[in-house]
Amino acid sequence: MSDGSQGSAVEFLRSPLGARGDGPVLPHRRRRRHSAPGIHLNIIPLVDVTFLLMIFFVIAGTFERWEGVLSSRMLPSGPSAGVPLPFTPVTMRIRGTGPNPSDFLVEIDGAGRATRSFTELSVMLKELQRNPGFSADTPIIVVSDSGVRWDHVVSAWNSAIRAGYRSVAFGGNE
Amino acid sequence: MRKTVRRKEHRAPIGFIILPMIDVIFLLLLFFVIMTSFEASAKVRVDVPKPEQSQAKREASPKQVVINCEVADRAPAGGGSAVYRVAANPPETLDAIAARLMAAKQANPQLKVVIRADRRLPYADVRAVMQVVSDVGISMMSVAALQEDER
Repeated sequence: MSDGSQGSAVEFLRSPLGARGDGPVLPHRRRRRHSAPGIHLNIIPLVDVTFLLMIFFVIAGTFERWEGVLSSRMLPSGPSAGVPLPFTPVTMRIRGTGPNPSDFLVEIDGAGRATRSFTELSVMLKELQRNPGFSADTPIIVVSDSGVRWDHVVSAWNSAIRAGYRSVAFGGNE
Repeated sequence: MRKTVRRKEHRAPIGFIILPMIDVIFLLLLFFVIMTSFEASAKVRVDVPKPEQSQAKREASPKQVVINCEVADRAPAGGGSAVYRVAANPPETLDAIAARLMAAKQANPQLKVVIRADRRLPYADVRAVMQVVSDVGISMMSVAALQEDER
């Protein structure tokens, strides 16, 4: 008996009457869902692209640092060289200590000690500011031996700026 | 027979999806266009200093002259170990650079000079350029260094 009733329902759906929508509501909806084109978000290519971009940016963008500038001013030369400065400048001397360009030592006039570490140099310069008569406005003059690598000279200069000094200038060769 | 039919139903369609590829190509194109414009000022490749905890700031001014100091492959005729060039021009002597700076300063008294020197050079070679800049009467000078990595 049940087989007979199911068979008749299927017959009804397949009939032109069922297909036109005059038949029962539920079977008609079910039929439309099957026949509609598949509208869905295909996420797999999106994931592919995201991973590809991630790999690209990791490879292309990680190992480069941006180039910037450290501003300075040249010490006046010629007739204006004798203009008095409002603060007594501190001279930072970079000395070559061996035949290798990497052999160097940085001394600060008045600090009483020398160092090879630029982090320590920055600390020393900061400590110097606490002394009476010194402040962040005290001019720092960087003087170096001719053979010292430019990298070390710039690092020493950078240490002075790190320590908060606002006026750092290049002096000349030792 | 029935099993064969089922396999056919579940098989994914074989096709070449071109849209993600176009997306990637456009994104790469955009990336390279942006990167190229950032690097336009530094056409000459110079290994500039990399200080610890660098305080270097990004500063681009149209009124600045960039002097590149590179390590010479062969010893230059004038001595020293550096080759000098203004921006991406051919290498020049320091006298020629001085003349060029003098002319530029007359045109623009607020001229600023950026020295992009190779980190391996001895200080004397860079100091020679600084002396030229100072002699011309330019007081605003900067040196190029890498910025601190912010990532």
